[in-house]
Amino acid sequence: MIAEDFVYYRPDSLPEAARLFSELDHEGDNPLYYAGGTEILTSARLRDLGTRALIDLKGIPECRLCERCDGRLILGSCLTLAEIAALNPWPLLTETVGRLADHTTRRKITLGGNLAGSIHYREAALPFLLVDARARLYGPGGDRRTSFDKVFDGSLHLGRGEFLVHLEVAEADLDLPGACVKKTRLDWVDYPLLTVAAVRSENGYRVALSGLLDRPFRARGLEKALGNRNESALGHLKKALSTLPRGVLEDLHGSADYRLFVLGHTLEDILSRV
Amino acid sequence: MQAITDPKEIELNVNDEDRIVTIHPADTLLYTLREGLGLTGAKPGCENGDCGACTVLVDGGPIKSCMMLTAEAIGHDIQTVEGLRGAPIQRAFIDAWAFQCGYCTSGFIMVAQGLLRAHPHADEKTMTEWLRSNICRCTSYEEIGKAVRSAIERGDEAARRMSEAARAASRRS
Repeated sequence: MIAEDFVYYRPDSLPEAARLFSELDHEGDNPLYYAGGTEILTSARLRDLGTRALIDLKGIPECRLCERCDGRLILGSCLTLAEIAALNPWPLLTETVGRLADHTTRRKITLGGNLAGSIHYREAALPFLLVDARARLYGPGGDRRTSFDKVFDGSLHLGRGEFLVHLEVAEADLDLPGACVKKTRLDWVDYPLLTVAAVRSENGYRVALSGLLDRPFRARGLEKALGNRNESALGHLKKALSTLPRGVLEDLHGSADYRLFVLGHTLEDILSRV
Repeated sequence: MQAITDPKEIELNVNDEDRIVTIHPADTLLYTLREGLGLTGAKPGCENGDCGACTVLVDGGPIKSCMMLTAEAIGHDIQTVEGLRGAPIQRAFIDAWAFQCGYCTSGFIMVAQGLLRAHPHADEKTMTEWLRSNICRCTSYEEIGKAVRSAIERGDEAARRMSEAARAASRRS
């Protein structure tokens, strides 16, 4: 049972959602956009939500798109992870989201919700960090389109009242050989000790990681080091790992040293496959 | 635009019946099913989306009803364990003794029913992936797997018999 009290709106269009947010914000209701709701309902149950209004975006057609248009794949922010896996428009994304949470919960968690949530792993971002992805946003200021890395640096940075409508990926990027491996410490269904996604392009490997730091990130230093192939595979990887940023996590899932040990072996495995 | 700002009377389709119930905007589907409609088959367990004891089918697929607002369920078909009314998966759980305390059973049965609808010939990997959504603290996983596997096999056997009967009828005509 949720003891917090809030009101629920389900707008039908982008302008309606943005207008509603502005009105409720002006009235001091501290509105929140809502999609899958798994994180919001958990917070509400703990009386830790602090909102008096939820605006459910699932009724907006633009947020539910999964289509190819003008050479780009468009993925609506309110697609659930299960829907993405079933439609399988991008195998690397399917492989990545297919290891988030459990099967039933993936029928609720949405692409946008995973990126915008406060739980820092945000693994659905990994494939988008590896390609030339673009984002469409909407808010009280209207429509905005930008590159994904301008609004996502490990967490999503949006203006007040702005929300993610969809992400776009060039069709050519969908065919890059890639793979994603998630390692958990105890159970199959768990937050990651480490999730590694990689693709191979004509310029070399691209690697994105979740679970290593307190945010998902594209490991550009690692990619550059991996580009030097004159050394043995293991020695090569050890040197490459030294290029990683500081701040490797130490928590119940594993120590920093353990994470780096697992990362080395996972990279060796994944790079041999892509 | 749909708006639920106060306690409101709504219509929910549950187990193929249109039911009228009054909800608050913050009510979860689990709360409405149990307290509003008296359908106590969906169990409150962790109420955090982890255990799956509250699983119901929404439009034929499993949903943890503690993780869905009732307002979200308007216009969708909801099925609870009460709506199965002696489905083969229930018989399979009984035959395999796939429970101990029984608290998680309705959730497991609903996720298995969803699996049988979506993948009637599910392989071991698919079955395991779906069942991982639920937790049994009595650890009856072996028996639960056996029950679901036998329901899949019975379905396969029934499909094979129907196919053979259709072929025989076709040869006769």
